[in-house]
Amino acid sequence: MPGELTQLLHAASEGDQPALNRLVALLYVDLKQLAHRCRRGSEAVDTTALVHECYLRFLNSGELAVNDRAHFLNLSARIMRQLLCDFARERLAEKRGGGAAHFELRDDDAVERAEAERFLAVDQALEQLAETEPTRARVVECRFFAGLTEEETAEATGRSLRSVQRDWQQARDWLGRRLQA
Amino acid sequence: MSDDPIKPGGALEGRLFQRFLTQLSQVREPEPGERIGAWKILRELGRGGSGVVYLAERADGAYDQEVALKWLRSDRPVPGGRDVLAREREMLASLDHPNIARLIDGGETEDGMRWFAMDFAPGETIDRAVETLDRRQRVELVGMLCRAVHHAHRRGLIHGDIKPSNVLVDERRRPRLVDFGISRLRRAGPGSSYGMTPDYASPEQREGADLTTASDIWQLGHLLEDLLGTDALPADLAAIVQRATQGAPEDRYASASAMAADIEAWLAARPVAARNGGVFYRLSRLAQRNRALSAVTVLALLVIVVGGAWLTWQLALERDHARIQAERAEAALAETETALARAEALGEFLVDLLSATRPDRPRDELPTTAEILDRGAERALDPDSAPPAERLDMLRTIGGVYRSLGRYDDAEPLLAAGAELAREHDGLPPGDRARALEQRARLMIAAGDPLDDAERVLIDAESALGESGEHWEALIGIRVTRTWVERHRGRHDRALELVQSLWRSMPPNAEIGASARAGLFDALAGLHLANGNLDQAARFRDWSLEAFRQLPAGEEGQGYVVSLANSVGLEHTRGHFKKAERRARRALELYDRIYPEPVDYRAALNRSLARVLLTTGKVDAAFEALASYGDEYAELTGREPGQWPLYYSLRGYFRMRLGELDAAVTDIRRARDLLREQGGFDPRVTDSVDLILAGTLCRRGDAQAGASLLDGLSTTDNLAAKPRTAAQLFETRAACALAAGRPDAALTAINRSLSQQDNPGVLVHAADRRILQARILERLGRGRDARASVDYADRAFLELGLPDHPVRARIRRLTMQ
Repeated sequence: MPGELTQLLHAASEGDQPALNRLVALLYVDLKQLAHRCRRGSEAVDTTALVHECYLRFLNSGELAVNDRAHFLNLSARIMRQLLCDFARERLAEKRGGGAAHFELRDDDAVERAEAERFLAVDQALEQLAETEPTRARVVECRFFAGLTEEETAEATGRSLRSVQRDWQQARDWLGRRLQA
Repeated sequence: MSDDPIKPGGALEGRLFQRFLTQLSQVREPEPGERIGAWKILRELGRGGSGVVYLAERADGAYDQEVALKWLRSDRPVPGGRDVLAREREMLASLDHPNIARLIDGGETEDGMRWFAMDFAPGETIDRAVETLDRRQRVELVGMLCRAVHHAHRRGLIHGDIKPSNVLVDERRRPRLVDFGISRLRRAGPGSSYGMTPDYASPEQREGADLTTASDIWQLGHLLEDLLGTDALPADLAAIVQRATQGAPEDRYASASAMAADIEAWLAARPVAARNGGVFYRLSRLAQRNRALSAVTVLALLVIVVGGAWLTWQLALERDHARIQAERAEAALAETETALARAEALGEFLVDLLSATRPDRPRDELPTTAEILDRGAERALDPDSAPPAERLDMLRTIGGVYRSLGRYDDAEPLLAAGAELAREHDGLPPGDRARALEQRARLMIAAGDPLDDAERVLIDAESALGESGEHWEALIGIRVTRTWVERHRGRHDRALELVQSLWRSMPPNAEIGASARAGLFDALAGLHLANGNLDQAARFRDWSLEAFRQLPAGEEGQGYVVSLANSVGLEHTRGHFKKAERRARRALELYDRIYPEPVDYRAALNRSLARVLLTTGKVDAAFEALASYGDEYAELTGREPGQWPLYYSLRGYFRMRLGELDAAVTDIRRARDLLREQGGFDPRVTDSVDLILAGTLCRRGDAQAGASLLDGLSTTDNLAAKPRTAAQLFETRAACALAAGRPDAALTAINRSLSQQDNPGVLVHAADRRILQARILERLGRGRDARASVDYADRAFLELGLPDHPVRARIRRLTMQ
């Protein structure tokens, strides 16, 4: 009897929306715990490493069959991208629209805003990239949005380490040009 | 972020992600089973940027009610405090509309989390739901939403966040708006567009201005655009979207109901307000809408009544021409700007026209179509109003619109002037000259002018085209019109030759548009049928269907449906009963979609269907179809229900064929009385009813009454001239001769009747005639021949695969005697 996570992964990859929702919720809960730890911790916390810990806890929970690791990493990357971009959109809308009720301009806001805009620009560019080079787009999703290592990315996308390195480099160049323009 | 914009884990390192985590840590989320207010959380339904939605039920179990409970991420304090919230919530809860998910409850938890409970509306989000819907259905959905939004606006409530994910569509294709007013409730007060989906934020929302009803209209427009896509959007729909999504709120629709009205206008092919100002446009929409009510309908009615099926088809084609004309006018409008630049005179003409109808009229109030039309006609007739080419355009367009509206008297001078202009100026484009002459000729035919005169104009039109071979489409139009002249003369052979020679001479690669091809094949199909070439007719009918299908309106185009309906009789005659029934049912379905109002097409089709059903022995269904025919004709001709005389004669006729003679006599008598009472029917019509009555009476043994009816017929020659009516005439004579004790004369007559028609479509009639023949032979003491006669009739049912036909039971009873 496979663990709940495995079942969810299978169902989600077959397009089962409730299963996907449940997965998002699970990851969310974990991120929340992570968030609490962050708040307690110092300013200079390595969030990437923390997020990474999140994944590892899932991967090591014993609930996941070996061949489902790729599935999980892949799906997590997609979910992270989705969550972050949703949040970025929301922040931007809030800053633009909600100014009347909440009006304090701080440096933080300007930085956050620039970041949010950048995230969304990358997100949009990735959609374009996915039309011609879907694998490269997924590599960026895994590495940039989800903070997966090269090895994990290779596992998630089912490609060799060399190809992931090449894809990452080329996609970065392409995105760099794209965002400059 | 660092200098390197895209480094590994880059998205997780900045301040934004920190902020994300901070917010996350502040959010408490309920667990399944937890109680929130009066509700118990069942499970999570979805999660988005603004919060989480759960399915919840009444915690006290007082009654079964499931709600969608929306759990909002922590917000800042509400300006104005809880009172504002409570007030607005109350108003929202009062919203009662089938297309709005009602707000049922809402509140704040002890720890400051805000939640709302709404009607649980199962369904897919609209962007997914429309994947299987066609354009019309998508537009209908948005129209319903506009009405719902208007309902709320009238109560002072604004949605504020209309977008695909906030519209759920259930299995019965009912849309429901969810989250009504929540974008406001989340942070009551002005300027709150928190959580707005950026794509769906109206320009003023992006600016942070107050939410208004105009924002909702903008979002509805945007939604419509998203659902339709922008590829090849009809000009009217594009105009609706454009009007709704104007940058300045005051330029948008004044209300959601105005937008709904425009959408409904589009669905009903009426002019949409978003495209105000276009004269040709309004005219063409008017012409489209009224095409079914044109005078042609009245004429068609008469023709249908006297049984000239082919002529009906041609009249249908005539109406299609009106439609094509209207479509052309609309296309012309789409190019108005180019057109205006090209022909300045025409531009001035239009501007003048609009302002001249009533100079003091407010700018936003358009003159009525009739005013524009009449004023335009006046101008177009003035030789100094414009150079010849533009004037010819105007004369033809306005004349054509008049004609399609059935205003023949008004069309006449315009089309006559157009033809005159075409004759005088041989420098004008040959295609235009030819079309002007053809239009004139069509009108002459419709107005009952001498056919020879019309034919001369048509021949002139053909010569205007010259020998260049570039104008196949125009030539097809002219030739098809020429076939009318021959048909009116009764020369179907020559009519066929006219189009057949054209068909043969056309190079295989000639570039001919679908509408011209459809017209040509339609004519060929009809004329082959009139000449008795059933298989050829069927072949061309199928081709015409294919061509009609390729027209922009596709299967919902009038031409396609009429052509499909026309093939019903043909397939019936050829013995393809299933195909005939299938096509009839499909055509009925399409008519129902195109015409909400009564229309002769559908009525006539129901009659054809009734015939097919009688032939196949589905008697109850046949009577049902017949009743639909009768009802629709009664309504169509402004009669009280049940007052259409020919319904009763046809029903009586059916009953006679089924051997129910008394019921048949009652029906046909009723038809006769109504015909007399109402008056104004063609003598051929009254004669055909008398003929059936005579036949039925004589079968019942009432020789004298039958004979006197037969003697009273005034159009005997006419009846004898066509196979169908001739078969009826001789059959009736046979029945009456038998009843009068003259079996020899009866035998001659029935044999003549039987030799007139022989095709699978007359199966039931032929069987009844064989039964009569058998009776006559019996009386003559020729029992064996009588037996052979009924056997022959019986075999026909078996051969056509109808062993359970009720008429067979009659035959068997007869054999027993």
